[in-house]
Amino acid sequence: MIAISVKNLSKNFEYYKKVPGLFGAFKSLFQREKLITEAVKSISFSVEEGELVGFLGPNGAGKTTTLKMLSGILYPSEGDAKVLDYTPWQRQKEYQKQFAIVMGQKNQLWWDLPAMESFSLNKEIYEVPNDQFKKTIDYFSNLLDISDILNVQVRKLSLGQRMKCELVAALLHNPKVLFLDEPTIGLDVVSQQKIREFIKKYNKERKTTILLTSHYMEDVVQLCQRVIIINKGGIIYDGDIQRLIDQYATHKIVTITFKNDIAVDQLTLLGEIVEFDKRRVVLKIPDQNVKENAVRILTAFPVDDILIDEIKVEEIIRHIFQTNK
Amino acid sequence: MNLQNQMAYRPSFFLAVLGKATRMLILILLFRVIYFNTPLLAGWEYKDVFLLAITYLTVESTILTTFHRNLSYYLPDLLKKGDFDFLLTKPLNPLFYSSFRIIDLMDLTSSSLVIFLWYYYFTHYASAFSFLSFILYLILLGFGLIFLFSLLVIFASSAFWTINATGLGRFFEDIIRTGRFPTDVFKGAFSFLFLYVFPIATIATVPSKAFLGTTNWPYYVYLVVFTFILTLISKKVWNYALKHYSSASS
Repeated sequence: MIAISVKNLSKNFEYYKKVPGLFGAFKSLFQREKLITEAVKSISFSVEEGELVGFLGPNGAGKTTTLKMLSGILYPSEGDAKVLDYTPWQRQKEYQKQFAIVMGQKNQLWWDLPAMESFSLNKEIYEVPNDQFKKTIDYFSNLLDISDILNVQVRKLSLGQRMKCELVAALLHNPKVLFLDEPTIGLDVVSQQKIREFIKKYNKERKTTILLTSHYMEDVVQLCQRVIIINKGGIIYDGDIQRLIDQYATHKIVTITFKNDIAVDQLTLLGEIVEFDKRRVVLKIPDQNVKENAVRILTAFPVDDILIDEIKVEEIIRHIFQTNK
Repeated sequence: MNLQNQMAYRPSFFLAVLGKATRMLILILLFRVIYFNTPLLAGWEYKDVFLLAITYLTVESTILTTFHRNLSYYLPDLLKKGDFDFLLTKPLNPLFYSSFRIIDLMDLTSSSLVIFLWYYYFTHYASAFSFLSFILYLILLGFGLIFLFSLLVIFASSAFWTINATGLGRFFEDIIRTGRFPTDVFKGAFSFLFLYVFPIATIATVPSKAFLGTTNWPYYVYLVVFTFILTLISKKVWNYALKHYSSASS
């Protein structure tokens, strides 16, 4: 069953050009130049119930704008979208009780109060029954290890602890659809990993449909089978992440450490030189030549160590963005 | 919960309460000083003006405690930071939540002084008054509040485009402060303006007169129709503004 369906969705933002300086500010009181940004350009996709989809793109690509339209925060300029058969921007209560959005750069918790107070407020807003509320808090406290910080003022929490509490606040009403906008932004690697593990487990246990945006490729690689890549408002890839890797990873990265100094001209025929130091070289070699060239390297050079790696997903995505500029 | 939030900063809380109480007493003292020099002001005796002053203070306390700051100051702040996003995703009426999200405990506390002033009025100045006059007074007070709420919703909606709307908040405060005085002091065009075009007379003068037994039924009909139309307009303007909400970049 389809949980999210988007058809030719577009969003344009109007804004006025600001002329610098006092004279410019005075002039703009009477005459302003109107500019239009096409943040999202006629995108279409659908997401199955229970699917966890990664929404990738550089800054300003249109990821957050899309999530905001699907959450009913923004009206689209054109096109249509249905989430759980509701039109999001009609802001029906029935829909609002079935989805949640978490934005890593914003917080919905009351800053000067303990997180538990914000949870209680959400309990009332979403009309969560008492026993369900208690069970849910216990469940999340154990899963996220936050039982000792529930009664600490939010402003005194670390970023990682705050993000855990943000997730709990958003999930208290057990939403069917969850939009996660950069949930790991600014977190240290340990906290990032904990949040990832939580999202993975939650998706598996509750079958919640999740649309996740992130700048961190690790988030997407670890959590999502399917990615939608968006750039400059348009979708440039929608499919399996492994297919994306297979399609673009036509080379392998071979790192060789030598026992003696080596001249660079001896290596140019083996592959594209990415990095070179007299005793260490990083080569980019086409897949079909890797075996043969590795044998040649091992027999012709005083090799101390050789390492053959796949091209990193980050590299692939960067390549895709660059070729779509 | 917002009350708890404000009480987290106790010194600031007590100073603010003291400041508000002083402002209320200054209004009463101002009238006292005026009436040392004249027994009547536009047909109003001191005891009647005292009623008008506490009526005004009741309205002011009510709106300050509830929707005024929410719409004039907190809403533009939410829009500027993009935190209004969360408000739109909750199963709540965004206008209701934006208007009554933060109940100002400082104003709630200082409002207790209004209760004291009412007690003082009833024990020192109030002559016999009819129950019906009192009911009419309360109804007119209600219409005055609806008028002010609708007006502020229209003003506040502009914040969706201008973002910084503190100027509008102050403009609104200046408007309601005009209601501290009996509108009978205004003559000619100003009288027409404050009764029909921008009926600030509804804030204190009209209810106070009804309480004192002077009724004006044709004007009440006008007031009901005016308030109804203004409420409809404010709802349309608010919905139009919501449709054009552009959020803040993340």
